[in-house]
Amino acid sequence: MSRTLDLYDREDYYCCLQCAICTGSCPSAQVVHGFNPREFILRYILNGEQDEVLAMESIWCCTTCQVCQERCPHDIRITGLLIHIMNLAARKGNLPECLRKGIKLLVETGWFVPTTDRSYRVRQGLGLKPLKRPDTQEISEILREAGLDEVVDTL
Amino acid sequence: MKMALFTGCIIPIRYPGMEVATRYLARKLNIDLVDLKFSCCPSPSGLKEVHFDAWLALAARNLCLTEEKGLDVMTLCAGCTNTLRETTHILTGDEKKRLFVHDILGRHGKNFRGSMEIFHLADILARDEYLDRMESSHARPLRGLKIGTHYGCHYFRPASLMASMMQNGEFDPHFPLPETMELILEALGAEIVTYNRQDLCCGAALNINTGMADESFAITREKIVWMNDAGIDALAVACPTCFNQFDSGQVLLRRIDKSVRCFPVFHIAELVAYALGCEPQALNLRAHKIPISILDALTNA
Repeated sequence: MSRTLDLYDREDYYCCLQCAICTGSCPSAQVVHGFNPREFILRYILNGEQDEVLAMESIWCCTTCQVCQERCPHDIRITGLLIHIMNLAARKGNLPECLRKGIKLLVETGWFVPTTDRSYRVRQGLGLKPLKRPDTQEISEILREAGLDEVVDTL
Repeated sequence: MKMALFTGCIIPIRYPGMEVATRYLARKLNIDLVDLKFSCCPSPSGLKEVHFDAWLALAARNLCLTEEKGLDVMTLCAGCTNTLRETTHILTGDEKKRLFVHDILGRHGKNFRGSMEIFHLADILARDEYLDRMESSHARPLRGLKIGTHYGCHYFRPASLMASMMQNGEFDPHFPLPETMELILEALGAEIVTYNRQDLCCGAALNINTGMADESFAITREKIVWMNDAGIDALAVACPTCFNQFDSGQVLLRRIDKSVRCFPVFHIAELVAYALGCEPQALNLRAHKIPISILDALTNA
């Protein structure tokens, strides 16, 4: 909870009326059973069930489209809260494999998308300059210095 | 005008034709693009969710590369635009975060001051000077083509940060969508079609982050149904992730329901380059899963 208070003023969340316009607007809530932004505010902030929420796999279903906070009548930063919850969950090892792989790739190549021989060939065929890797040593150092090694051990 | 081109990862690696389109239209419109050795932005629905501070520091590194050259940035992707804008906003407003990042970047000989501005390609082309030039100089008008737009959530949310992307720089809660692509497409002769739930997310991040493909494409499917209801001939997007979601999404949807009418999807850069005279072969439109035969009809008209 103290980390939450670092980032966000808890008072801002107390004004949540549980009106559920966030959940009603949420694309993931329409298609994923158990993904419910209104309930995250209720349980995490109002009921204090931090550990339970941080262990939920479904918190990762947020697409960060931000429609929830854009429509919230009290301007509660719901996406901000979810990103914070996901950050804390990742430190506790609750991190989907897809994202873990993506971040490993980012550390190794500087890109979030894998390259193949074909990517290089197609670019050449189109007359584009060859792909040039960014400075991956500097990138991985910056990521580590910012604390990414709290979450992934590839650094 | 001279700008740093921030291609992001997806376009140069997976859809290089969109990069060809960007370079073609920039040449035609006298925009000088400078290539710098940027990394991933990083994505606002990837690293940011996993480690906010690492996301902030790496984005700041990218911004330092362009700041060293004294250039503003042109992006081609909703996510890159959002990350680079929010990072600039945080680092110029939050002293604690600024010092944290300043300390890290300083060890690598970099210094963030926040003097540059971030613009998506669509923001730039929607300026009067470029609209006028596109209107008077297009080789292949998109006349008769009914086009719907999908911007990508990160292009316009949160409005407090991204509203300046909208033509008048103001946010209208009753019509919370930008207009930049509409202005560009109209200048090129296309007919704009609106559809229900136009501001709904494409659903891509759900699949990318969790691997829940069925649920992710169920969101996409809702949008495709509404787009078809409105009778669009083609969809214009401002983001390569959204592009993939709608292009692949229709293929998947056809597997379930053969009666679904498919429409081609284009990155806005592809449509502009085509209209300005770029040959379709040069744009590698074969990379599109949904056939783009609609353009052949225009070419032969």
